Amino acid sequence: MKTLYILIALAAISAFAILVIRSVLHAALSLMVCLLAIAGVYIALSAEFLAVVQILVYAGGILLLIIFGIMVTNRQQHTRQGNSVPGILLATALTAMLWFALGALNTGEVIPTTRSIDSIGVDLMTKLAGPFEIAGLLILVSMIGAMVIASYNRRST
Amino acid sequence: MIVDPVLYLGAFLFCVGLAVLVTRRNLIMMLLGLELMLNGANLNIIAFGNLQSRSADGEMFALFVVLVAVCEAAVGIAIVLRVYHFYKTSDPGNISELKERF
Repeated sequence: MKTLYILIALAAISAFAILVIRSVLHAALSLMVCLLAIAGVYIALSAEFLAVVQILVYAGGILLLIIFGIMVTNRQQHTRQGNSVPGILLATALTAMLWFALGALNTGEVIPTTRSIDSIGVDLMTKLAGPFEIAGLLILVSMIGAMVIASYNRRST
Repeated sequence: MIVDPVLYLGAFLFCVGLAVLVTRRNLIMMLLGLELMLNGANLNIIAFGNLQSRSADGEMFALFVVLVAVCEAAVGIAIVLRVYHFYKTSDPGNISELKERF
């Protein structure tokens, strides 16, 4: 239970650091800390498979892609801020709203159960076979789309 | 165990992601904020899915959300690279060709 609170505090602090840090690369590394802490929270919520997927896909895949994007595009090290007042106002208003809504919520005690990982595989192949296939198609299309967009050459058209 | 702190964390992550998305003037930083918002929503889904401890539906739903987030990040980074090569900037404030031409 104490580990869960430590992980939550770590995720919250590193997420807030993204908002404060000026350097884009440092913000990306802070996002990595946040994502790994969230993976720990998933384990505490007995969603172990999703925690592994989070580490592999988010911390391994998406963050690598983003860091490559930073290395290619970011000529100046620091970025300027804009829309500060409306952004902070919007975020604090939404935080207050969600805070009161969650305060009114009564979830009660939850008994953590261990769900076996083979039930996830069986679910993916039987009950969720349709969404699974469509997800594969989505990945294929987005892969081709990303390659076409990134390698678009004006002379070849 | 109690799920409430995880719900608060999800709400906080969503709001911080929104603030990053609005205040930062860099396309990559905006993508970072988007990922943060998706993670906040995912935490919410997992926490509420844990309330019904019999089924793994929340986990499956979050799995598909992660999958769509991967596709979004790949296409988003590709678009950012193209925009950078065309405009030589990653500041969305400077990309205003459609606005100024008419």
